[in-house]
Amino acid sequence: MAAIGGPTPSRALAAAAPRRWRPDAAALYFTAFTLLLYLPLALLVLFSFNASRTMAFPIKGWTLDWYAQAWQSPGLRQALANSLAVALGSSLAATVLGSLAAVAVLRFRFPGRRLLLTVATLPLVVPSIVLAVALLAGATQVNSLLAAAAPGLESARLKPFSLWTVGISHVVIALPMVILIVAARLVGIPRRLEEAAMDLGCSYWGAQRRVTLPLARPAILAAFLTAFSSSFDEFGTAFLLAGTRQTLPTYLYSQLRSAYKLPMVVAAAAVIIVASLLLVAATELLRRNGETRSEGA
Amino acid sequence: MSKPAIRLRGVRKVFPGARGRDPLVAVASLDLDLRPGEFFTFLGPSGCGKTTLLRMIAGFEEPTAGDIAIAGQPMRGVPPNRRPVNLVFQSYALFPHLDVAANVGFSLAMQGLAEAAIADRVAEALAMVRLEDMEDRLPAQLSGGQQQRVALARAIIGRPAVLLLDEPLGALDLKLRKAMQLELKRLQARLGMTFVYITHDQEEALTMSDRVAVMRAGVVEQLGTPREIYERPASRFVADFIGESNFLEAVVTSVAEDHAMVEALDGGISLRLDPAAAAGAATGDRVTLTLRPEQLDLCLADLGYDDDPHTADGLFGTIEDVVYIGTDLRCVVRLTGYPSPDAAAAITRGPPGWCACPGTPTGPIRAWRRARWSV
Repeated sequence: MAAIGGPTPSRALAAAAPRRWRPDAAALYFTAFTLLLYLPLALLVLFSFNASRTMAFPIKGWTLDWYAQAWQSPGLRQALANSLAVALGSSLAATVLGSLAAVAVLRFRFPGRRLLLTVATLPLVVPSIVLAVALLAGATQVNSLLAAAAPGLESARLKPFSLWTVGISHVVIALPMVILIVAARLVGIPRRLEEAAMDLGCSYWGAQRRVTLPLARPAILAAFLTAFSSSFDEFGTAFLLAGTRQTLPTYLYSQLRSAYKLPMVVAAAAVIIVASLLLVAATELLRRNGETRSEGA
Repeated sequence: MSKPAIRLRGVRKVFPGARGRDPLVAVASLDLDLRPGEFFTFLGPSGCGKTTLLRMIAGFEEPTAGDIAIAGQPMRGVPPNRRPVNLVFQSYALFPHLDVAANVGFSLAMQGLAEAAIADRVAEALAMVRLEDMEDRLPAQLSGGQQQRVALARAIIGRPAVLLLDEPLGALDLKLRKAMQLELKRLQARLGMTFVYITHDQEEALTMSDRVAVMRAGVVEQLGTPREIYERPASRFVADFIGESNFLEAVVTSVAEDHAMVEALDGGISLRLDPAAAAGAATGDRVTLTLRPEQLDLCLADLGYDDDPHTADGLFGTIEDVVYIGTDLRCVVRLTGYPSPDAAAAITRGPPGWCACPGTPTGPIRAWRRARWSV
């Protein structure tokens, strides 16, 4: 044990000397890092094909039964549909709002510009469960206001526990990501390009549509995909706010309580993992594509 | 008399000061008429207001006060896309996602012209800037000079009444810049279009312009032809900014019909000015003499002229430094008896024989007037 207790004089010397590139050490580090990140995921995918209800080696045999079971489960289908609807709606709303906010912050000067940026990016550091509680209180207030304004209209009320409030919370969570991603791209689009378009006959909105939007499109798409996946994965606010409805993460969580449903959950999780990885890869590809295309702008 | 291409009346631009700073007067009240078909240059150091002025003409800024009219039409409240001007941006501002043809044809597409007509006009415009067979390239695939030509073609294709150019040659190397200067001048003559050119490069301004307005701190210091502003600078600033100059403080001692006498170097020397240079001077006036290097000749102090500095029509000094600049030798001469040693240098261009060895037995020399002194 003494040998690894501390740096020996010769080791200290070696550390002080200019660092040499040691491919074996780097490779080891990279391998360990990757394993730590992806081994659990890989195992999950592996066990989803295991013909046993227990997640343990050795593999008993290969089966697609769990996938079939997951696909046929009405609860899971409903949860998936809910999740997709919430994710699609919230990420669309967040993308539109966030992109406009990014344009406002970067292209216009107005009082409170910096404040807007700070406030808008705050949800990044607020735990989602806190956000959910805050939203719950907010929804109740909005409802009492609505009730006072239009006493007869029950349908115009915002139900505190519903997919709507989940969706709203997901918009709030995704907004900072969208703003940051789109703003990072807008910074690289010189303002004089818009001016050139206006000089050549475009109105302001024409210049946005013909020049800024095409150049920012990869970033906007990347922001949309990021917002979508963040909503799709989100558990905290969905758990608290969905009420009787369920999104995929809360459904999977609820299923874990019965052991015999575990394999089906694992299969569903495996599908989500692969889909998420594909989504991330697509996002990254889009982002890079956007960067290389606008080089020399 | 046709209407002025651009008429500026009391045009003023003040930017509000940020966070307790004083407001910035970018352009003080400016009155100016630009003639149709002329190549007009606003010349000045950075921060003199020339770019702000151009942006006001293009419509990106509204004047704080005053009026701008283009081809007789008042421009207040008219957005950039409805003004009969086009702008060539300093860094070209080509649309990176569009190919050359789409960049050049952009304004025609905005007008809703048919594709075939656009293609014809694009080819014509590209031919005019000598950039054929590049229609399908993206801007990133072009050299700086080619991008410059695309930007030019894009701006002239819509046949604006006035073409605005914001230091368009700044990013090019010297050789290309000189070639483009001549080409721009030729293009302007061919199109018969009014060009309004912005630059801080005095050589560029002199080479291309019909008229030059030298600007400083939001004010036009001098307006004239290149020859006028170089040979008869209206102020010390203009003389200093355009070309190289030596300055001598002097006092007018007498004014006669055909000349004037001044004393410089604290009375150490008397100089004779010809009437053109002395126009408007009165006895007792404090003046600044501007001496262009090429107006001075160097010769040995004891060569053919009276050595008495009080009667001699020249300056005495010692060569301090000689710099070889190819076409000339640049000589720095310390003037004898000049009160402040820091400003004692006179710059001239001398024959190589005289300037070969600075600070050595060449001894005292005289810088002689050749053309004339100007005040």
